[in-house]
Amino acid sequence: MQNGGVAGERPTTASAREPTAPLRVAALVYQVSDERIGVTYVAPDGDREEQWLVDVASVLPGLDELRAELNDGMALARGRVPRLRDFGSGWGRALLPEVMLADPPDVLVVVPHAILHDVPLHLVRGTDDGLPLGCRAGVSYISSMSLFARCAARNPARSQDPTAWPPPTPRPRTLAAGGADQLTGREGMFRAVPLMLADLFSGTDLIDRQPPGMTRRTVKDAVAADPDVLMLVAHGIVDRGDHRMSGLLLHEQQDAGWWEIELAPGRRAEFRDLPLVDGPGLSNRGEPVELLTASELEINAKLNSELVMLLACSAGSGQVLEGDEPASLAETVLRLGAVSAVAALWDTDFAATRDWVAAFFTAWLNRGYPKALAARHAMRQLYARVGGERPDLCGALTVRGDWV
Amino acid sequence: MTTQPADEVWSRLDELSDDEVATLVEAAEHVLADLAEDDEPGAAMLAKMPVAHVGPALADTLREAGTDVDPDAVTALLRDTERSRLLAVEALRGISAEPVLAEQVAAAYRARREMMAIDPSLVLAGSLLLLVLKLKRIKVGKVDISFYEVREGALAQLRSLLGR
Repeated sequence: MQNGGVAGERPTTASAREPTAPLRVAALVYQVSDERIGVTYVAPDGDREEQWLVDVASVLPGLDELRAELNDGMALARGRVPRLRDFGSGWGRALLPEVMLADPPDVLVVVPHAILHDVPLHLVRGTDDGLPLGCRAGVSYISSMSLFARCAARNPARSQDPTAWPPPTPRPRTLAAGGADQLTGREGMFRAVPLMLADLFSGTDLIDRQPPGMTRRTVKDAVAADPDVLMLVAHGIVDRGDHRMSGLLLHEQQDAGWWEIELAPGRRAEFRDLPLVDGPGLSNRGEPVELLTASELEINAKLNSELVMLLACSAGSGQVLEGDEPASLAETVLRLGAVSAVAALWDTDFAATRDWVAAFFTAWLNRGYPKALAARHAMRQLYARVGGERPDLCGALTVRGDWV
Repeated sequence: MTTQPADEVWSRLDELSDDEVATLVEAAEHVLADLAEDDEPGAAMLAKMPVAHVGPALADTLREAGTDVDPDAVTALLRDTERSRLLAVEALRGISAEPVLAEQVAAAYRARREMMAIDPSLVLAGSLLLLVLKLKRIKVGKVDISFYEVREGALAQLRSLLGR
């Protein structure tokens, strides 16, 4: 991969219906009871159809096994994902209405519920061409309808008709981005990901360029500058016991510095900018590390970005908390104000991640595709290269929030 | 992406950082459990046993091999960071002597290290030891690998660290 340009796109062998104007946008809103899984299908013409899909008891063991496989980092590394393949080509179909398998819309907004959060429905294969749903439709996940409404309301891209096709000329966007890798000594490769995209943006702020590199402070400063796109490439740590302590592994801040908060109008207080938890002590090169946690973002950051790209393992997965809140870093950034987020549902291979990202941004920023269709384009590119045997590679990254 | 030779990680076995050893142990457990699954259906479970269960299981194996030990002493040994690392490295050294198996483990290790993930830095040698001691032989393609020498090396290290 060369700096300053996007890798050449490979021809795709995946065949799927091309969109026509206006885009057909549909939604699946799930309801899971103690006994059954149901869905409300909101068709492109606005018609709503409610249906029961399947008994919970019949899919629960499969879901448990699927989650166990997707949490097994070594199984993913070795491409040993038989349960994910079975899900995509077999029992996962029971979780979708028939119309999704036969004739999916151009864009599909999925609102999961309860046990269905983090389930990769975009990997379920169609009944006719055998392509995964994510290669046939632009899929965006959102944890609730109210969060979707908030994401959509603050999306500047919605000032134009989002269903126009071909898409209108995309407006220029700014990027703030950085990479950090203290674990495997490949920091240069991590930092090269935003560099290769720089030509696609009207302005790029590399938040890792000053020693010691990307830190909690540089990330929070970048957030405060309101870039259109915030991209963080780092190792992710998932705390399954307390998701708010999950986060990104960054360089240690050399000067902790101070933050100011307004206790009451006119009354301000300063506090030290220290990490909320200790880093895990995993440095490969003896450099100290710090964790930027979801909690710290909740305290310090108000996000106005149109897209936050979290290129860190499993930044898009987590336990479901009370109130049906899927606890993940991606969910946190949406709740903090981001319009959309892209994150991985499971541990991802670096090269596959880089290729997906290059294809996604080319489609979104050069061609003006809505994000969900840019994700479809990226998945089709990767699917054409790795094939159906590695759904873990082409289906890890997903769009959350607004699809536009 | 640069591809490192298969023996790169094996030649650095004694110099690997704790998180590298931990990843290599995990890779070895995964590969062994995978290869043994046809002949030893419980192998995958051995690779996932918690330390509190591995200690007594290892003590039983030692007893069968003629050495009586306190299960709690074995569990304490497995929980001791430094001694657990020594046990893991000895078991890995035995695996590295089998070229076909070593290649598979190194490939799994490399693939894992090329992911954007953090592995635990704590070296947990117990499950790997249990696999090495329980498995008599495995097949890698057409190659039949006996675990006799690996097993004897691991047992000797275990006895030595337990002062027996």
